[in-house]
Amino acid sequence: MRVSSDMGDESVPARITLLLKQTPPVPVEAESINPESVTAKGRREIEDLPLWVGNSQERVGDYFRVEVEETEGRRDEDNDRLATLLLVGDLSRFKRLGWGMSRGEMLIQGTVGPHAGAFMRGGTLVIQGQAGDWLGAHMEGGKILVQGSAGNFVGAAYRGYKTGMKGGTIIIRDGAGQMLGARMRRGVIAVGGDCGDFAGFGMAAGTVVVGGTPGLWVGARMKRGTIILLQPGELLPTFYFDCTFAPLFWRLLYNYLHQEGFSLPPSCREMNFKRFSGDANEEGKGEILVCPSLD
Amino acid sequence: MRLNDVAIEDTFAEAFTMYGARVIITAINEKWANHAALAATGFATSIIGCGVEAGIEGPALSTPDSRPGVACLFFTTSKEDMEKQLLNRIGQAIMTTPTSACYDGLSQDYGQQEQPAAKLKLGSKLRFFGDGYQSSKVINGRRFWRIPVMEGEFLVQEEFTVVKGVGGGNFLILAETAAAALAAAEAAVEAIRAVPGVILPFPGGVVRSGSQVGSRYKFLKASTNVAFCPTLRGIAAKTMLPPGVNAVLEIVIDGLTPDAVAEAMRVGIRAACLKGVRSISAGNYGGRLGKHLFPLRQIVQ
Repeated sequence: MRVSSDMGDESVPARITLLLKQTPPVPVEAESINPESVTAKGRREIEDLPLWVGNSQERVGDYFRVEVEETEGRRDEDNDRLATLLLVGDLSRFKRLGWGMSRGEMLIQGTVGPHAGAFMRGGTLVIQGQAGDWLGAHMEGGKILVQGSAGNFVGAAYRGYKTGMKGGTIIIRDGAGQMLGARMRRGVIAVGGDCGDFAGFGMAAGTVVVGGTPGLWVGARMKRGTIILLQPGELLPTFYFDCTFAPLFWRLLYNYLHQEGFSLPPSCREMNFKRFSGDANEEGKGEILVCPSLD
Repeated sequence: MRLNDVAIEDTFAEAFTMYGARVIITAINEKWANHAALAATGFATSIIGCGVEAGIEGPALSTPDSRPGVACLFFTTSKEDMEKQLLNRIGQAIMTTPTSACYDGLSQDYGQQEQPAAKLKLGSKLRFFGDGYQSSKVINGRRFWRIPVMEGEFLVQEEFTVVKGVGGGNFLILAETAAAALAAAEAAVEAIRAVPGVILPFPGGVVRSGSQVGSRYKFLKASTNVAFCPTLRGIAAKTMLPPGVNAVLEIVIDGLTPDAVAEAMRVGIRAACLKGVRSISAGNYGGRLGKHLFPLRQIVQ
């Protein structure tokens, strides 16, 4: 491995590190920062990527120190060269990091602002810190791993849209805010800790797993899909008890989540759930699976 | 060439390209996985009369749901036949078995390395049994259908991989007595069971009524292998039986790859060279019809 002084060598994948130099005074629209936009670029090109800071356009280089390292690197399924992007610092004022990324790996060491990974289509976004609101909103594919907690509207639909997350996986080690997975259509969201009110609001399909205590109104207006509560919570009266059983798909989902680093006790894989159908105010084909206890 | 004082004839087995699929059946324990597997692979000895050749490959080493599982292989002459057979057999034999689930056993092996011959969307057809209450889950990029049944749910993968395999690998055990032929055949079957990627579709892995192409009757495509029938040695126009041979049994092998079939033939022939066996031969059509030829002497070396 060697550090490139200027232009990146196009024949060699690179690890690109953006170290925060100064915290911006106002929120920054940072959708230009994702693995695809920095791949095969030299340091100066990356520094020149635009950032909207408030109402003025500035450069990545104004806020980050850029390091480009040539590595053995990784190649994606099409055997394309891919840069691995590492961001370091408190990025809570940076919005839309990893916005729409479709491949590659982006690792953030620090807290991120809202809309991280929104419209993401592939690749992996790892956040070693707290995530803001609208994490993975409208996500279509790929993985988001948060080693902390996330804000409201994880995987949800933006105002005026009927469908939120349509694919991919979001794993949050700690808790999440309100409207977790609201209006999601496909994909998996797993939260290790507690979550706020209205988890799975208006879900059309997909799976939400909540390891901690859920807030109120879980699954309100859900049409289809699955909410798995590993701790008992208060359910709406529009959810009807069906049976106690051990759904087989949970074993597959457990194995997958375990493989992705979502920590659950081994005994969890084979446990029984109480199944409730609802929301009866909608089609009623959704389900909430409640684990009686995790002892 | 002789092996353990048994003559290995200078001939070859002639096999054909068939379409193969591996189905992993899981259940609460091995007993119920085996019940489902036996039913699903039942009456599937020969493509001539059954439309499919199938068998139990062995215990599944790892299963998607981490429960005990059995791997079954199915072979047909067309992708359409495969879909028809698997739909019937999964629907009638596996779904009906308590606690069972059913997964594609080839997606991992062949998904990335080799272009499969086809991907059959079986789960999305079987789902209609759910009468509108079925639902699906996409887990790690694969879709599974949950079909409500009286005992809970039947889980079946949506897509099943079909690859080009080999059907009709074989060898013949020519023995002094029927008992000696059976003992040798059983030893061969036991040895072949350890080879992955192959099945022996006939009962117990052994067939006694090997066939020849055609017959004197217009309505019959295949008939008894006259040249290897001991009771016809004196009257048949042509016999392939050496002196002292009074019984012949055949081992038929279907496999996912030519290498797997060759390996099964190798270990099977070596295990079958027991006392009372005079020679090992193989069935072929002169090498003109089958794509895969397995010369016996080359294989056992």
